[in-house]
Amino acid sequence: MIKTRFESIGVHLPDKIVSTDELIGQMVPPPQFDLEAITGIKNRLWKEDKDDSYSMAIDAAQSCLENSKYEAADLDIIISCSIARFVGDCNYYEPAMSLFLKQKLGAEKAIFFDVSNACAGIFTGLYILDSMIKAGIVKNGLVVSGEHTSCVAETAMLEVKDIYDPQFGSLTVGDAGAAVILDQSADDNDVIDYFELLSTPEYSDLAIGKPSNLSNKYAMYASNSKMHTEERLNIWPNFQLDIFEKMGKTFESENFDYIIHHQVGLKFIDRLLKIGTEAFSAEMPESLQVLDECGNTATTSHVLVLYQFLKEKKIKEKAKILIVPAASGFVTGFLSVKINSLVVN
Amino acid sequence: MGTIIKATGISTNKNIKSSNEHAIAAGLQCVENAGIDTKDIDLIINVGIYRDQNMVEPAMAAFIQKGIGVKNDYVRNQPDKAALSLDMMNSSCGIINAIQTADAIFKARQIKYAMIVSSDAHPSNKTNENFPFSSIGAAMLLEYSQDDQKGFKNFSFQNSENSDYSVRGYLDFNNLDEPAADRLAVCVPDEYNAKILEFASDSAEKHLTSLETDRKNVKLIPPQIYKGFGKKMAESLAIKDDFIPDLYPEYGNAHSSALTMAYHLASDKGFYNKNDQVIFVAAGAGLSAACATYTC
Repeated sequence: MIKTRFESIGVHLPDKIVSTDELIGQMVPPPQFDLEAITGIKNRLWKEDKDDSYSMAIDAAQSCLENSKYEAADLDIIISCSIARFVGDCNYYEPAMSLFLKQKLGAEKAIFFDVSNACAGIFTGLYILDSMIKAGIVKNGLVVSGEHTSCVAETAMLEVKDIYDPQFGSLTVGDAGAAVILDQSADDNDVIDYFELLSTPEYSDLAIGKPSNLSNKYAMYASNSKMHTEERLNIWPNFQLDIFEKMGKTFESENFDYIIHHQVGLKFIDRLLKIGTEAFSAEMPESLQVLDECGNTATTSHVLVLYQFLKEKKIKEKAKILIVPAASGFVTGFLSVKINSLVVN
Repeated sequence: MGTIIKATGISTNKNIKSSNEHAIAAGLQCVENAGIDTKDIDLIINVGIYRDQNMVEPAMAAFIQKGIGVKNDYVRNQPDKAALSLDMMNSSCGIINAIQTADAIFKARQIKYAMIVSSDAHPSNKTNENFPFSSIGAAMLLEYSQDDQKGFKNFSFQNSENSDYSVRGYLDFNNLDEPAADRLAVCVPDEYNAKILEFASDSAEKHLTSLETDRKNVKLIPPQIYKGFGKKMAESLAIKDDFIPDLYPEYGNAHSSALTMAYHLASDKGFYNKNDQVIFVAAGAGLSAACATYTC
């Protein structure tokens, strides 16, 4: 069976940064909670006025192509995965955002479609692309997302009253673009070992993104206390343990060097690490995170972490990384990837 | 080995105004028609475009998975394989992208059934005269057959160089006419009907030519964009099909559900027989077109 690898990655990082102090300072009346202490987020990336989902996705795709051996014209498929699909102030349903990206990039032969699966969008795109390469349908492809999530932060700044408000989590989000090119693995040092995703929609109504009930903007309504119960968070290790049993693996024997969780908040990540330690009866590997400086950038968050650590040359040679999504729906899973020759410029 | 259609279902009840409810109703009918247990569905792809209340998160597929009752939760040592659901959006062509995706996942992973659902409705869940699509749903259950001769093969995709003549559907945050949850703009250029017929026909022509398809012995499931679309397309392709599904007079433009619905209604009439070759042609915003050859 063919295996795939991360051939290249790229990001769009907005120059603009909004600190938690700055954001809180704009809220009237000033809230009575300490957002930075609760979430661990000091700053979040914030798009410039000229940018939108499309422009950030283009920028991320071009960054990815600069790190790749492929030209846009070589791409067999483009999968766009952003949650909202903003071009200017309009959220597009059709044509597909991936078609706009294809036309702009000059990826003439690429198949294209959009995928939407909340913060697991990029994972879902990668899952499809990984399957298509394995099935011999395509040889390579680009999975890309541009996230204009600060729109829900703007709504929350106007509407959040206290820490129990369903829009509280929206104060943590940031904007970014991210892109990944997958192709066939050439050796054991750069390879996706295994990759599983699942959807458990029993509580799908606990996190909903839609236009605000009060203002003319998108809002994100999430019941975090119900959504992030011990039972819900255990779906990830339970799922991985069951698959490991079938594969004859244990967490310990896998010797992961790093783990990347979704960048929701420091306490959320700490809880997942604790749950993982208990469920797997194993020490968790070093947890990589950038949320204190970038915020929660939705679909782009895991790629952003990987990019930043590669850029700072903080990833060891022949690294083995466990990447764990967590998204409204509820979607989770695990991706084990070995990385050696992946570089970012 | 080939990806084949196990069953289909549709939802055309005019009392249903919700996109998700249509998809769920179609999915449940599809499960009943297939006579399967929902625990054997491992993949759900929703290719609907226009969603209730303009929701962007979670995937509408999550609500649909729950509504159909496909492994809503996961517990340790669960005997059934976990299910994945997702939304895939590419105008009316999403159905072909989803079939190709399911085909890839059948080949690359061990899954039993994949369901592709679709539905469209105005986000307000009210009748709106400016919304050019029907409030309708459809579902197609796919499985992987051991028979090498059967199933979907030879997918092809085309798009125009620019989107000048495309339908554009969007939520405009600068237009404050209605609350944003109920607001939608769907702009259809005057030239669209002529351009999309030409584009879809050209795309199907390339598909048939490249495969050297015998046009006397092929059946066509064309886009359902307006009355008589399929007949005009068949004429330009020199396809001698006596029965071209034409849903528009009765159901309007079924958009993302068009091809599944056309297949469902024609199958109900016993129109497709063993070894028949059927060409699915989708066309929509972009301009985009997608074709697939299906052997019954």
